[in-house]
Amino acid sequence: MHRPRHPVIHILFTPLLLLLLVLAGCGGRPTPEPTAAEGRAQEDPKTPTPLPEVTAAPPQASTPPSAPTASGPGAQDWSQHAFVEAGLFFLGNPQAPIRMVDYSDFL
Amino acid sequence: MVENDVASGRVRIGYWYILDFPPSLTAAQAAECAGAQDPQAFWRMHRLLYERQSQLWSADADTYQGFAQEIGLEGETFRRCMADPAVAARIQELDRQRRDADIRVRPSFDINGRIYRGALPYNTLRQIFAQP
Repeated sequence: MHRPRHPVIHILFTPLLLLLLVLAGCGGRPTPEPTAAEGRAQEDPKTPTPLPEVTAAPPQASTPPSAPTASGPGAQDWSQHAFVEAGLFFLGNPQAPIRMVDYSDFL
Repeated sequence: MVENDVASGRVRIGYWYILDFPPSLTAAQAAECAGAQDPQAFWRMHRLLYERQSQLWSADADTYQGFAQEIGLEGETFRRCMADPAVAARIQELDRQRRDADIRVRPSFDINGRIYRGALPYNTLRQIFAQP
């Protein structure tokens, strides 16, 4: 059986309830400030994205990606590969079809 | 040329010492001793020696020791190598061989067995590389 509310209670508590609901909607926990790292990540579009791990590394250190190659961007860069051939120091692909020896003096 | 033809794997380039001046031998020893630690270090020293060419005329052991430190070589190993007469003898033997082959112009180039005397502009080199 439904009991009707008392009109005085209804008049007093309805605005109070509405006020509490409004305050709850506007307040709540403040949004935390971004940490220093988060702040940089949002502000600096140059933040590097981690590169995927390279499993087939060139023989020596990598070179700048702008280094030109004749075989396209995915080709191996031989300009950092040093080796000894017939007692001389060489740079490049040991199987290169063109073998060039520079006779020179450091002075 | 290195950035194009060597990087692409089409050309490999080697270095043969010419000893034209009294300090040439010590500079060549520095390159040789760098390469003895790591072939890659030979080319680091090669680049440094050309960059500091003006210092080489008056360079002493400390100068070269500083170069070695600059390119990350192990100091004591480098010092012992520089003092090794066998290293100097090997370089002098290479110099004798090139004189016997009548390679007397500096620089000269051996490209697949053909000798080119004098500096070569890059365009000329490309034409030589394109030859069958």
